Amino acid sequence: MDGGDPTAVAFRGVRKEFPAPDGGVVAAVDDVTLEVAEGETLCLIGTSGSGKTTLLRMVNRLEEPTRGAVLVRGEDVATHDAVRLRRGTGYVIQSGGLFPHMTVERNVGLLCELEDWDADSRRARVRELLAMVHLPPDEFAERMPHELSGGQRQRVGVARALALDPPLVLMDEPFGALDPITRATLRDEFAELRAAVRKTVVLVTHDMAEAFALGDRIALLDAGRLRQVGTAEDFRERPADDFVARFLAEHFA
Amino acid sequence: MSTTRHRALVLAGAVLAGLGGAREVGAALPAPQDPAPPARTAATERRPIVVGSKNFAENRILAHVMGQLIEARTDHEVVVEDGLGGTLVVFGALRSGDIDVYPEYTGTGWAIVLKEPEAAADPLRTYVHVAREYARRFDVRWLPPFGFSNSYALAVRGPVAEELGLARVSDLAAVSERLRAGVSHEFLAREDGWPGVSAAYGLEIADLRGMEHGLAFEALAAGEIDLVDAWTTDGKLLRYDLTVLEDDRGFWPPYHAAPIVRGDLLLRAPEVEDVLGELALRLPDARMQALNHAVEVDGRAFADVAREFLIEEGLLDPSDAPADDGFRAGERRGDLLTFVAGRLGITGELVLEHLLLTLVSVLSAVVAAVPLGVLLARRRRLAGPVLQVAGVIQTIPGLALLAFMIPVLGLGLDAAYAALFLYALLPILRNTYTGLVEVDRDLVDAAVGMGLTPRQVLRHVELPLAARTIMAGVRTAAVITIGVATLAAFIGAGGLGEPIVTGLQLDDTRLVLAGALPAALLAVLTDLALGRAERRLATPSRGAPGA
Repeated sequence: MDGGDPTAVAFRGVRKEFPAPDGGVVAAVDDVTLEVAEGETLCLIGTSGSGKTTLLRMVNRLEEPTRGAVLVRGEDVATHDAVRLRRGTGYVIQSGGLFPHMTVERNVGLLCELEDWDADSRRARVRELLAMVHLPPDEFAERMPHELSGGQRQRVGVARALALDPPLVLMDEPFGALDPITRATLRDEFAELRAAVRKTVVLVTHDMAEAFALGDRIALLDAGRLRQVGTAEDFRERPADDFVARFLAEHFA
Repeated sequence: MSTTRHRALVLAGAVLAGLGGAREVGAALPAPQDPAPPARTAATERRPIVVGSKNFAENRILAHVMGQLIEARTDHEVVVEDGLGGTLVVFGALRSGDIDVYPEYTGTGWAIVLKEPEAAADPLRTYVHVAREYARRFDVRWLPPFGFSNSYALAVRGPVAEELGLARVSDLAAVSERLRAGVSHEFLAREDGWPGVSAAYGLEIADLRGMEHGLAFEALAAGEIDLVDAWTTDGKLLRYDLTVLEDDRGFWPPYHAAPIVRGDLLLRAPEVEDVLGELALRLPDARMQALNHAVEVDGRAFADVAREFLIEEGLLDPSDAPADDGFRAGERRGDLLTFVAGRLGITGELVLEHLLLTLVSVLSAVVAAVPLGVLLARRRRLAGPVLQVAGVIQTIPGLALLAFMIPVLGLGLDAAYAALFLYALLPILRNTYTGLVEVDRDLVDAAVGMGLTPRQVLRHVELPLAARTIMAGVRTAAVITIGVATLAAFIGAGGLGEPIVTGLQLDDTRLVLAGALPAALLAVLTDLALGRAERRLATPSRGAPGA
């Protein structure tokens, strides 16, 4: 990833339509053009229904754009083999998405298993990842997901997303379902982790404080349209319009 | 041992061996009597003479009478394969050479086998006609008749007959509205049954119901009904206080019984013709009725009754060793404990057959229904119609479904497997579909987003998470199948239904229980075992299965 195209992810005039109940269509994402630099953490923020999750899911082709293109490292994702694309892209969802019938070890090591790693390397990798997310492997490897707290499940989810060491990680409200204290702890750990493993991260959140704390840059969406992209400072000092100013005021009370 | 059973056991052995782990069970199976290498004695190849019979007492007694007589009078080895099934099964076995001789009825040959359009009337003409046609068309020979005619009859409860002065069928016309009748379903439907006789005699009975034949006699004894259909040689006529009404207008065709033999047997063993000829006219109606009574009411073994008859007639030397009783129910006298102990081997064999029927049907249903369920979960628009069709199949009564299979697959195992397979289909299909549809969408989304292929999502996420629901469907299917499989005996596929069917025919509760209790036990044990398996699936396993 070093020395390549400095743009990790690019959205070029992306529009995504869904069938509407009245028989017509609604645009969940409308004409979004946006770039994420290599190694950058970009937070997509907006109210629910703003299109931020849909935009994220177009990166690993869980959704296909109706118009426009999504590029990963300079290549249109539509030309990628979806499975290869996804294995090279970590994916963390709100509930953690752990498979309840598998141990922590198997959840984390599943992709290694499917990539035909031998058992020893798989095991070593799982232990390394669990240690990285502050879960002592000896204590946690054999647990089932229902034997974990919410925060622990989310840590395992992050470890699983990093299993194949992907250069790009997509996170959909990763801390959304946690209590405030756990959330703050995980947020700190995330910042720490990000410093240790240099990844490009696109993170969806509806929490402005979280976006400010974690994002190198922040993109604010409303009704499928991009309202402002910039650093936390840009947002505080130079809100693009009344809508942005109002959004900040409401979500930073 | 019938050929069906034989085939079933060989199959059972193969399946159990194939599944592995069930060695003990496999070892307990009797060594198959391999028909391939024929026993060669001295110079010539000698097959035993096989005497067959239909699946009711009278026909079985006659088979034993013929078998014991041939055994005593010739130097041929004799095997009695009694209780094979209905007319078409036994006649099929005769034509294929599985059996060499069995007792047939002229009226049956006329109507069922030759399918003559008009009703048989004159006894002698009927006999001559079937004898000529069988010889010409099938190379099967009718030997001289035993003497009795087993035709339909109507019987009235003794006190009622006395009170109303009933002796002939035509007497019924005046009083028919006052009688309550319970007749067999077959009698109710057959043209030579109720529809025909009621038209011929102008009978109108308001309270007419169809019921199982054995139960009708019980109902009669209890005073619930007054009129039943019967056979003129029915042993039960002697047990209950009944008046058989004379068929004074000659409505019923003659059903004279006679041995029928394959033409090639008479080439191979010409002496059989003379030996069986000695039985001619030795069994008038009353005599046959008494023999039937000895079996059906006194509960004596077919072979013993046959032997005593032959001795009384001076056809058999009392010092001759009694032949082996081929009847699987064994000695039916004695206390329940002896009865059960005496049947352990047979019951074990029947349980194996029953398990095999269930196993093959349910496993093939799993093989068909799980992939189909996966398809439905992928294409949900198909789910409604397909599940509806499977639901309709499920509502067809078991016996009817078995009956539908007969024209397509013939009698016996294949038809039974097909019917049971169809029964097992719905629960497995519905649960596979439901189980897959109910898998948490977020988990599927996570799996797809991680980069699992659709096949890997199915294998590693969807199927394991739906496994419990699918297993519950398999469990339901297995328990239903064990129940429905008892009906398979009606079409000659064996299993625990066999003593139930025989027991109903012989009005022998112990025999019915000998099939019903193990079947119920089997269902309960299967339910428990699969229930346990289901709960184990519910608890997520720690052991990481291999990739």
